[in-house]
Amino acid sequence: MTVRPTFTELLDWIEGRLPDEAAEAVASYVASGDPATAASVAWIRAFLEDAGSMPLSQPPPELSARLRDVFDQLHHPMRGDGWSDAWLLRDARTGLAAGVRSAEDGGVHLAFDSELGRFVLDATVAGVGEVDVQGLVMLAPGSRGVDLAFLAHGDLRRAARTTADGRFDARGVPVDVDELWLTSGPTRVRATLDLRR
Amino acid sequence: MTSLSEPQARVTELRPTGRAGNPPPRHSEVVTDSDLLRRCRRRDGEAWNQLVGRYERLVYTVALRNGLGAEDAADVTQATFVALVDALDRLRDDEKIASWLMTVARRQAWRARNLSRRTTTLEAAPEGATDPFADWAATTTLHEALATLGGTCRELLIALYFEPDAPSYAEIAQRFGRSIGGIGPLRGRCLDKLRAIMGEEA
Repeated sequence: MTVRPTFTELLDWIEGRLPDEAAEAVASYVASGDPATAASVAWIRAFLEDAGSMPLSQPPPELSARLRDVFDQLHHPMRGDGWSDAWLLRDARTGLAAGVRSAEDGGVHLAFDSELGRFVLDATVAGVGEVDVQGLVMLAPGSRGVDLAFLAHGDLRRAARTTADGRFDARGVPVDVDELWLTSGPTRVRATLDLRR
Repeated sequence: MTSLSEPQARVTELRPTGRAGNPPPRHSEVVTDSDLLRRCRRRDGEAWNQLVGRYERLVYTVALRNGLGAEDAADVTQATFVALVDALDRLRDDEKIASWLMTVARRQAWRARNLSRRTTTLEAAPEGATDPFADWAATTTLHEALATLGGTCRELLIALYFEPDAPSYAEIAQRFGRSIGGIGPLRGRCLDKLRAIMGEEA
């Protein structure tokens, strides 16, 4: 071959898609040491190696469906039936229950019970008008985690998902958040929040 | 002597039909990740579905490659997309969404793996010290470049080079609504474009 092979011809050659005669012609041109051709060949080989090292696995269909649902579910958690209210067990600010931690550490400590099980959350001041929230949902056996939506006046402000052991962490949550929605499969729970000190 | 760069024939953008026999392809404009993210910020659920369609395999694969089982990998994938909903208004660079998702998934997978280690015996614990990605930077760079490439080219290269079952040209041609003979040249042009993008980004 006396003319430089095209990029596609080089790719065809590397992938073994050329007829013998054409393949020999490309091989002889590559062997001639043309730097641009050598660079193309090296790049194609590196690409094929990188791509082959991480084939993309198809998620199970039920996961794909959940991923598509999560957007609406977080933005509009109150839609449809099947949700219930959580009830407040403890609020460190009001001393609603005995045995709570002191409210003097600058944080808000709340405990709830709900259809999803008990959950607690601690909110500590993170900046002007914001708190960091950490918590734990006592997941029922077999539960794989809970999606959480923090809303203020019906608008999503922050979203998080618990780890498999029920822990969650949401940084920089606006203090005007007044609702927390927890979703696990078809079960949805709403908790009224007041994160202001 | 011909030029190394082939003439860039205008690539008609087609929406691939997917793997499950979706409706036939239609002509459409290239929709970038930035377009989709902008629409997601306006609460457009269809844009979200497209974004999930583009990246669910990548995120799920990152989780699996970090040594998680299918259930934990599914949890990590869901947590990563919940994190994206959470971060929609705070993303620094919409063009870098592929590497953002990969990084979040990797971090979530580490957390899941550490959790699992706390509850498994030493013998049953997965090998944790080895990094499953030989070159994380190269992997993220490649997927960033694919995201920049976008459109039919991205979908075609993903189908040809990243699907584990290596579909035939005939299958690809049917999926993309093209002739078999057109697949080879198109993938060559697409790969050349990808190379140019990666050269620009380097």
